[in-house]
Formats: sequence, C-alpha cells, structure tokens
Amino acid sequence: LQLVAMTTTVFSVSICCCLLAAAAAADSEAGESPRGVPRSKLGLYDPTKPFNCLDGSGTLPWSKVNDDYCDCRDGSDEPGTSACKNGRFFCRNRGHKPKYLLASRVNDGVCDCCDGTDEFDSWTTCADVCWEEGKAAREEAERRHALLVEGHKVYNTWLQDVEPKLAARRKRLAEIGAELERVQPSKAELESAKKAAEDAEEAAKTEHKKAWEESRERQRAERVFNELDSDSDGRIGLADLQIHPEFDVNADGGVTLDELRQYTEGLDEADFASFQEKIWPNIKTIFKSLKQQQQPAAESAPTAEESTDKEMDEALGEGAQPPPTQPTPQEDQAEAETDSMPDYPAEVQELINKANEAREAYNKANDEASKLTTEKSDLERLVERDYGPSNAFFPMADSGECAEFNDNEYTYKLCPFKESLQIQKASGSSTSLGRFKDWSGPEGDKYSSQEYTDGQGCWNGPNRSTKVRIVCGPKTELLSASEPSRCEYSMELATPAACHAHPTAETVDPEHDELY
Amino acid sequence: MRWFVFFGFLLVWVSLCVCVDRSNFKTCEQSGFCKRHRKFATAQDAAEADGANQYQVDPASIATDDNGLSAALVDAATGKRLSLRLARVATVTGRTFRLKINEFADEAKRPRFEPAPGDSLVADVAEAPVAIDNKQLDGNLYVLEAKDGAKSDAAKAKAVLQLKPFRVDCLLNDRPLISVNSKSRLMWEFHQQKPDDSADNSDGLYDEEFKGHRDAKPHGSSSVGMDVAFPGFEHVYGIPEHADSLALRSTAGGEPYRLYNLDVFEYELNNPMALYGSVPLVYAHSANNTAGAFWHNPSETWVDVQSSKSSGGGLSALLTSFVKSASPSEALTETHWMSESGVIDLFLLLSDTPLGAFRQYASLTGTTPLPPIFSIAYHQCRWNYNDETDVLEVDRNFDENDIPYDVIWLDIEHTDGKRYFTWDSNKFPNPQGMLDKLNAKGRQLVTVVDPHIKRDDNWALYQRVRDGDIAVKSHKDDGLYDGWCWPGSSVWPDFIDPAVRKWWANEFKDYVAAYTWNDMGEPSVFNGPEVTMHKDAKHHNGWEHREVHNLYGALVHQASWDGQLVKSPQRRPFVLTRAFFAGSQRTAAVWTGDNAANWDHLKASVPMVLSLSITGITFSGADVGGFFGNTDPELLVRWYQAGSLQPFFRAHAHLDTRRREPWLLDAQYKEAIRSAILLRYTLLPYLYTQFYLSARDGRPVMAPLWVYYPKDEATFSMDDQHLLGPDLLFKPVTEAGATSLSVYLPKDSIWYRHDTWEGFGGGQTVSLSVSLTTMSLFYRAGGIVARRDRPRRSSAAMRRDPITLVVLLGGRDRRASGHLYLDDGYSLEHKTSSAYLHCRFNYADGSLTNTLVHSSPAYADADRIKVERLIFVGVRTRPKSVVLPDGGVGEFTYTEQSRLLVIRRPNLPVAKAWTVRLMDASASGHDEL
Repeated sequence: LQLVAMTTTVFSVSICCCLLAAAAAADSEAGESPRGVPRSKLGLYDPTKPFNCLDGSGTLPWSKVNDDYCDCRDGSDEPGTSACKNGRFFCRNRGHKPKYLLASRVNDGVCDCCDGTDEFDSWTTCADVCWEEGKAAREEAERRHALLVEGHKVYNTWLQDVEPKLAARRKRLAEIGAELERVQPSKAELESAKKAAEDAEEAAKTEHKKAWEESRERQRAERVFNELDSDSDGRIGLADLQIHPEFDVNADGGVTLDELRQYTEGLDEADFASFQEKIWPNIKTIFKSLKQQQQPAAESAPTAEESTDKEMDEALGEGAQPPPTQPTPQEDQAEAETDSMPDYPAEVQELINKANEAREAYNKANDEASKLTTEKSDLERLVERDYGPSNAFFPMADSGECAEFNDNEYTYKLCPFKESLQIQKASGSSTSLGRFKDWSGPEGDKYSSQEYTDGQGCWNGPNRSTKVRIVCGPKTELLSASEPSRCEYSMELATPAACHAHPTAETVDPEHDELY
Repeated sequence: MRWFVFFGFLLVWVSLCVCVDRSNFKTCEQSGFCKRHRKFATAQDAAEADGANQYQVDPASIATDDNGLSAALVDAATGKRLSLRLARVATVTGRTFRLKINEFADEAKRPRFEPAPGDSLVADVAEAPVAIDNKQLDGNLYVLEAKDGAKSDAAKAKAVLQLKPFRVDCLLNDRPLISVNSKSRLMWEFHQQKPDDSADNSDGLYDEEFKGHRDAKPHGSSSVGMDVAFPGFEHVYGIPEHADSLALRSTAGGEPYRLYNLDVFEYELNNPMALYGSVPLVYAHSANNTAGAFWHNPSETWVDVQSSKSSGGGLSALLTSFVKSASPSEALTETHWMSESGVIDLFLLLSDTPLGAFRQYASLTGTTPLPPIFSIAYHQCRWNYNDETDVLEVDRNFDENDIPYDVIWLDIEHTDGKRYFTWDSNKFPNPQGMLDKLNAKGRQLVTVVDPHIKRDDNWALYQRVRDGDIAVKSHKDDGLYDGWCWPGSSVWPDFIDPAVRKWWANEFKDYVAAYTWNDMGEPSVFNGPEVTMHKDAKHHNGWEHREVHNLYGALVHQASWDGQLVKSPQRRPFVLTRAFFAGSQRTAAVWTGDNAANWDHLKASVPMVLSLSITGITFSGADVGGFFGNTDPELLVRWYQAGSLQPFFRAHAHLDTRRREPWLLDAQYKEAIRSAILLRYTLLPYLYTQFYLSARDGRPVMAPLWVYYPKDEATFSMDDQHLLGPDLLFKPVTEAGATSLSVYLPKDSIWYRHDTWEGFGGGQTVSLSVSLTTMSLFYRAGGIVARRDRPRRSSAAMRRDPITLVVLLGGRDRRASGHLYLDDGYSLEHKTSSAYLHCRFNYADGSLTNTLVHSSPAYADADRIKVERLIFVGVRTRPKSVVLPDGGVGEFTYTEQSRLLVIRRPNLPVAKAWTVRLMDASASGHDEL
C-alpha cells in the first residue's frame, strides 16, 4: 500500500527506474485477471458474478466475457480478444508505458505491446522487449525533458528581454515620428524650390533647342536651294525643278510646269527668301538630291547583310538588340552639315546647375523621409503584431534572424514573421515559399503553427505556401522542411519562444496502470 | 501517370486546354486503311445486288477433315487467292468455331504476323471434331456440326459455310447467332510497294504522314477487314478500352471505335477514341442468347457498329431456307472490323448465356489467376510519396486513424533519375529496411517499372540493352529506336522477342522491391506519332511495330510477372498495367489510366470497369479520387464508396494535386471513407471467393446485371450499377449533393439492403434516400455470403479471423447457397500442393450444410478458422430451436420486425462438414420459416 501511495507522487525518471523490480513483484500478486483489463478496472470484472456491460447495455453470464464473441454494445465484454470492433485491449508493458490497443490489433500478427501480450494466440511470436524499449524511451524522454528544461530557461531569459526590447522599439517609433515631423515640412519647401528651378531650366533649354532647330532647317533649305540654283545666281526657276522626277504628280513620266507650280505656290522664279518661305515647306519631304539618285545601287533592295539581320531579329524576338545599321548617304551628308546641338550658353548652364542643386536637395530630403516612413511602418508592424502569451515570440521577430535547413538539393530558409525561402544549392537561385500571413494553429493552440502564403506562383497550381509547425526547443532552429503536396511546404521550427510550459518530468511509472 | 511536368515548352500549350487535344490523335479519315475500308464498305453495300467484288470459295479446293475444312477463297474481281480454315475449337463448352484467313504461305510476299501461343491465346488452341454435311443446297453449303460425345450440348452448335458468295453463319439450336461476311466486306490488301511516283496515294496506300511524322511503310499496306453480324441481337458490348457506355453505340455517321493502345492525356468521356489498351472482342446479348466474336489481331483496329431493332435478321435467301427456327427477334447488330495488318483470325462463341460465352473466351485467352489477397484489398498510391519518412508517416497515419490498407505504392520519383530498377539513394537510403517495416505489419510495397530505358552509357542496365540486341530498332538505320519519355532520351526493350522477355524477368532478381506497376506500356513515346512508337520501328524477326503494337504492353507485364517469379518463385506475383491486350488478365491487373477528379469521370468508371470485366480483364479498377486535379471531399467520399466495390481498389493522385489521404479531410468525410474501406475488408472472403471462381471459369467478378439476369431486358443498357459476384448488387452515388438514389433490382429475386436488411422485390426501381455514408448495397435472396466482420489493419492481419455467414432467404424455394474459398493468401501452394479450402454452403428445408468441395492439411490455418456468427435474413417466424452439429442447442436472437435470425457463436469449423438445423414449432421439426 505504501508503495502504491509513493508511486502516485511524481518521481523523476531515474528514481522510477529503481522501483520497477518492486513493481514486478506487486504485479504477480494480482493473480488471475481477465485478459486485457487494467488493474484499475478489475473490480468491474468479477468472475464470480454476472458481467454488466460497462455502458449498462446488458448483463451477461461471466462465461461470455472474453469468449471471443462480442455481446456488449460498448465492447466491454471482450477486453482480451479482437471480437468487438470498438473493444480495447490493455497491455501492462512492465518496464515501459502501459497502453490500450484497438481490439483489432489483438492477434493480428503485429507486436503492438512491447510485452507481447497482444499476440497470445498468433502466428507471430513477440518477445517482451519492454525493458529495452522502456530504457530507450526513458533516455529519450530524459533527453527531451532536458531540452524542454533548457528551452524553458531560455524562454524565461527571452521574456526578460521582451519588454525592454519592445520599449526600445516603441521609443524608436516615437523618435521617427518626431523626425518625420521635422523632415516633412522642409521637404515640401524643397520640392517647390525644385519645381521653380526646373521650370526655369526647362524654359531656357527649350529656347536654346528651338533656335538650333531653326538654324538647322535653314541650312537644309540652303543646301537644296544651292543644288537647284544651277547657275549660282541666287535665284531658281522652274527649269531647275523640272529635272527632278519626284515632282511628277500624275506619274506620267514627265514633269510639267503646272505640276511644278503646285509646289511653288504659283511662283515661276524665286530667290532664297521666297524659296524658303513658299516652296521649301512643300518639297522638303519629297525632294531627292540628284547626287544620290545617280547611285541607286546603294539604296535599292536590302543588302544580304541587312536581310540576315532582319531574320536574326525575328529569330531573336523582342529582346534582341538590332545590330547597328550603316548610315545612308543622306544621313551622312546631313550629319556633316548640322552635327549636334551646340553646348548651352553660360546663362542656360547656370540655370541647369541651379536646378541640379535643387533636385539634389529635394531628393536627399525625400530619401530621408521615405526611409523613415518605411522604418516606421516596419516598426509599427513589428510592434503591433500578435506575439502570443507574454509576447514571447517578440524577440524572435525582433532579431530578424533566419533559420536554415538543408536537404540534398535545397537549403530551406525561414525568416520568422517575414518569409519562407527555398534556395537551390547548385545554382543558388532562391524561390519564395510564402510571406508571413498569420498564426494558424487550431483553436486553443493558436501559436503552434504559422502560415506563410503568396510565395512564387506554381505552374498550373497555387502560389507556393508554407505551414510551419512550432515546437519548444532551447534554440531557434529549423528541424525539417518538405513538400508534401506540390508547392505546399511544411516546416518544423524549434524555438525557446514556444517553451512557455513549465516542463514536468515525464514519469515512467511502473505502477502507472493504477491510473487506468 | 502523365508527362506534362516534363516538357517545358509543352506546358503552356497544355494548360490552354482542359481536356484531350483531339487533333493529336487520328480520326478514321486520317488513318489510311480505315478510310479505305469504310470506302469499300460503302461500295460493297451499293454493289450488293450484282455480286461483283465478292470473295467465293473455290469448290475444288475444299479439303475436309475431322475438325473442319480448308479451302481457297478467291476474289471474284481480281482472281487473287486466300487460304481459309474453318474449324471447331476445343473450348470448355465445345461451342466455339474458328475462322482463319491468311495468304497461302508460298504465295505471300511477306509473312503476316500472328501472336505466338502464350502471347494472347493461352496456348495453341486445339481443334475439335465436327460432322460435315455438304449435301445441302447443291453443295453450296458446308455444315459443320459439333461432334462431341461427352458434351451433348455442344452438338447443338453449327457453322455453315456458304461458298458463293463467301459467308459463314453460326447457329446454336438451329438459331443463327453470328453471320460472317454477310455484307461482303472482306477486304484484303496484299503487301505492295509503291509501283512508281504516279501511283495514287490519296488514301495513304503507300505512305502516310500525320502531324509531321512520316510512316514510310517500306512494305506497303497490308490491311484486312470483314463484317460480323449478330442477327437477333440489339445489344453489343466489349472492345475496350473506351471512356464510353457499356453497351456499344451505333457509329454510323461518326467515328468507329478505335483499338490502338495510346497514352491519351486527359482523356475525354463518351467517345470512341482509343485509350491505353485493347481487347478486340465483342459480345452480343439478347434474352435468348449470347454470342461473341474475338477478332484476334494485335494491329491497329477500327470497329464500326450498327444496331437496329428491326432489320429482318439479314439472312441470305439460301440460308433462310436452311434455318429451321427463325430468330425470335427482328433485331440485327452489324460490326465491321478493320485492322492495319496481320491475318483474320476470328473466334466465334455461341452460348445460351453470358457466362457460357465468357467461359469459352476464357478457354482461349485464360483467366485471371487467383490474386494474392492483399491485392484485392485497399491500395494507397500517389505520385509521389517522396521519401522513406513520407512512406512510413503515411503508413503510421493509417494505423493512427484506424483505417485498413494493404499496399503503398511508389511512382517514378522513387528511382534514381527515372532509371527503373534503381532507387534514389538520398530519399530511400535503405529500401529493404523500409520494405521490412511495411511487411512487419502485413503490408506490401509496389514500385513502378516502366518499359522505357534511359540512355545513359554509364548505367549498367542500359549498357546491357545497348550491347545486347535487346531494344527495338529504327527502320532507317537499324540503330536503336530513340524516343522521349520520363527520363528523356530512351530506348524500348523489344518485348516481342521471347529472349528479351527472359532478360527482363532476370533483371528483377536483384531489384530490391516486391511487386510491380508497369505504366507507359502502350508504349508511350512523348515525341512519337500519337504519343507512341513509330509504326515502322523494327522488332524481333523484322516485324514492324504496326504489326505488334497492341500486344506490346501485354508482353511487358507478362515479362514483369515472370520477373517476380524469378525473384520469388514461391510467391504469387502481382503486376498492374495500363496497357493491355486480350490475354492480359493472365499476368496483370489493369487500371483505367489517367482519369480526372470530377463527377463525370467517377460515373464513367463504372461502364469502363464493366467493359473490361466482361472481356476477361477481371481484375480492374479506376483511380479512386481521380488522377488529375484536386478533388472535393464529397466527390472523394463517393469515389471511395464506388471503388470499394470494384475489383481493383486503389487511390491515386497526380503530382500537382493537394494531398488527399483520408485523415486530411474533415471528420465526417474521413469517417465516410473509413467505413467504405472497412466494408471492403469485411467482404474480402466473399470477394476472394469470387476471384477464385473467376480464376476457374472466367466469370467476371464485377458484372453488368444482364450477366446474371440474362432475360431481364431492362438491364441490357444499364451501366450505372453492377453486381459483385452473383449475390451483391451495388449502385454508387455519382451525383454531387445527392439525397436520393434510384436503384433497379433485377427480376425473379428478392433484394436486401445491407445496412437495414429491408427486403425489396425484384423487377422494380426503388428510390433510396442517401446520406454521405449511405452505400446502396443489396444482398440477393438465395445467396450465402461469407464475411469477416473484424476488419483489421491489413488483409494479412485477418488471415485466421472467424467467418460470419449471411444466409439470404426469400423467393419461391427458400433455398440458398454460396461458396467460400480460403488459403494462405500469398503463396503458390494452392496450386503446387492444393493447399486450400473450398466450402459449399447450402440451405434448404431448415438445414444449413457445409460441404467441403476441397480441403487440405497443407493449408494449416484452415483448422483454426471458425464460423462465429450465422445471420439468416428473411426468416418469417421465430424458430423453436437451433440444433448444432454436435447435437447441442445454438443460442440465437430473432427479430421479428426485420425477420433477422442471428445465431451466436456456433463455433463451426469451416474445414469440417456440418449441418445446422433450424427447428420450427411444429412437431415435425421441419422448417416452415
């Protein structure tokens, strides 16, 4: 009796072990008990009395208990056979943990109880391996327990960090607010200064460009005028134009004076001024220099080289750069005459410099403000998120540290509260397996898992996502990562943050079945 | 399994269509010989009156012998000659004739391919004696009448050869059941090379091209075709595999049914397109008879079908005067068979009943040998279980959720880079260890082994193929035929060559795995014409691929079967195949390929499996859940329910789908699935017995209703419900959100609901209200069904469990009977040392008797197996007492309302003969229940 009383109190694992021998002796005193019934229920199975189904559904003569035929609706008359679909078989498993089995596991050829009692009439012989398995299990339990203890210790130190760290972040958040208040107005001023400077700059540049274009246009007109003015007397007549076949409006092979007058606005003769004003606008797009018309080979059907290029372009598609083309003679000539726009004069350059300064000043202020804004929203998210009881998960988020797991092909990287990644080892290329969405544990155990969604899309499938199971461990580490369904990943993360529970020793109590 | 993960450039293209891209597959019009034969048929129909273009038998050439006759057939138009052999063959009923047409060997340009005995036919088919009478009608008729002393029934079978025009009619009891060439569509293309460039090739006579694939046809065309009509029949069935109704539709104005084994991506329902396998066998059935025509030709074959209710029987004038009893029906079904090459080798099956016809076909191509019992239990498959941890986790979850399963499957990802016979050593570092762990729970492992071999010069197996004259060759240069499949560039062992099959079987010797799944055996060649091998690829002895195509996959799984015997000579093999041909049943189970997770595919699974079941492919099923696409929980539940009562019961899913193992579903769905699987396990003794009976005589395990109710015409076009053996009837729910279900119960029986034992008279449609868990399963009055009511985690775990017998009474004679077959479930000892138990139970006049048809001390477990419970359904009055064999009184309960009598623990050994008597209240002690 005393032994029983003692063992009901919690012992540490190692103390329990030395009591097992005593427990074995106690067990033999139990004598003939119906198979598959735990001691705690022996009182309900009395061979001297009719048996009452435990659910009260009927009463049977004792001979029908464990006679391999199911009579009670709850299966309680067959604790030691496989007759009842809903029956349960108890194995004591001395030296290890006792357990209940489904009745269908009794005499099914598989050793389910470490003491082998479930296969008492079977084609399989089961040795009693409870001592070995129990020992291994106890060692494992000890190891696990140590981890939990260690984890809980770390958890406690983390908890101490939570409030100061949170306070620091909140403080920083307040600072940012203040800084932003300082930066925002000056940013606005700088922006309007920038705008004024840019307007002035733009106007000056436009004017300069316009002047240059006008002069270039005049040069082109002059060039044509000089070509037409065959006798260089400063005047051209219709005859000068008549030799140009492009003025053959009705395409009859000859250029008539009437046809020409459509271009000359009725003039039969013009000096440069009236040429530029009246005629030039009409002919500038169709006029062809006779010098070029004398060398038509250069202009006719695309050269072999060009057509190859074209094919290559098509073959390469949009992304391909067209190869540089040879300048046509016309472009050659034009470039020689006009070359590029002359540099801005000093007064324009001055305005440009001022605008540059204004831009730079504005950009600097803007950068600063947006940096602060980003920091602010990041911090707000960080500070406002749900970190579970006592905000225990805050330090993990705050550190920004990521955990990695390697398999043969990939490195999986989980940055808690941020994202989940898969990095191909061979190429180093990285694929997003989802961004943090929310806690996703079941009701009552919300903080046991997290969901990361909207990762990189899958062909013909969903965007990649990750479900992270969170367990207690002395340090933050990724224990496993896999892809059970296509593009749906599964990870297990150990972290002290999940070690809120005070670990109780997992006892392997030889008399534990008293509790059943 | 499909290939769309493979070709990056195909992905985008594929994603644009939701189902098969029909244009990848030929229509009859795009297939030269089909087009030519159809043209010829039209011409012949028009010319029928004048008798031109007709073959006739040269009377001078006829040589009769004990079993039949041989003669020369002459084409009236061209004078070309063919050799004809018409004989009776020795099938179990003796009512089978064989008509064979070939070229005379000394006249043929090139020999024609015929499958070797053992390929499709079980062996060389022996002939059987006939009496020949040619005195009828001035000698224009030769009547071959079965002469068989032992089998008096056989004598009623006749074959009548009409010489001019050539035609053969088969009669049973003087009633014509089959007319061959009555439409004069016999057409024979002699091998002929293109004479010159100007030759007309508009119908693809000399060479053909399809979607950029040129078929050089180095020997020209060599197609054959003929018509086979079934006078008196409106309904025909067979020629799988098509995703279509069980009863064949008329093809007039549409596409013919096509038999050409193809890997069809996301196949479409309700059309006659070719699928993965072929059985060129058609059955015609009426209330009076069943007739069959087995067109034994493994080349590409198209079949036109036309049925009508009243076309006058189509007998020739000559024959009409000869036939004594006219057909009671005016109906007629005509079929037109067109094959790309080979010979005409036509088996004509004559029977009173469907089962009689099935037995004849089984005599020719064999039956499904009794499968190991795990293989008729539940299979869990997915493309892919990723690694050992994954496999063991799935295994553990079944136990955790108390759901039985017997086999876990590994698809192609388990290999080292799609090199079959190897393992990815990172994912599966210790395959034998993993296998041992599964076996320790009585569970099994199946791994995929496909017939394409990765071209990898550093791989020993490939080196053997490369250097060993093993692979199919290209017609161009006699180099290895190269194509693309899962591993990329691959070669295909030439399974047509018996030496190659032997080599393949030996490759299993050192392969760490147990059972085998042969996928892609059509063969599937991703970059080949119609996703298969080029027709001019070269096989053993120079045969062209076109000549052997439909046979290829069957020889793959046959060799794998042999391989399992090489590895484990004492164990029953198990192989699953997608590609198949006539005779495949001897060495493989078949599944209906890559279906999709939608209600229509669930619905289609029933006619598809029925069609396979009646054409000898007894052991078949559809992927539960649907291969492509994600399934919703209700669909998954309904699919499990349907699959749990089909012969082969395996869940499978595509790589891109979400996991769908039962425990991942909400509780109500999980429970519904669990109870469907549990039901399967309790019925395993009955199912196993049906497989045993099927192995003996070729009866289908899953059968259309007309197989057991041949006179009930309401069942003739029914394919949404089925029987499982003679005693169970089932209609799966195949509609989303169903709350009620109409079930037809066939005539002349009484049917009991399995869950309430409520009885219904036959010959009516009953409406049931259904919930998610309802399975509309009925037991037939007159049957005795053996169950094991202790479902466990695997079939092996149940091997010694007691039996519950359900005795179903009702109907006029209030008799019932049933079988029970038991053995060790996995070894070959039931064959080698007759180590099995076969009980026959009979109930009549108040006595239930167990008669031992066979028992053997070599089957040791038999003595331990007891009957733990007798359930009598339909007992009208409470018996006074129950007397057990030892004279003791049996304890029982009787429920008047449900007319249910349950005898508690009679403790009857199954391996001993016994009688249990129900005594009524009257003094005689005679049953008046």
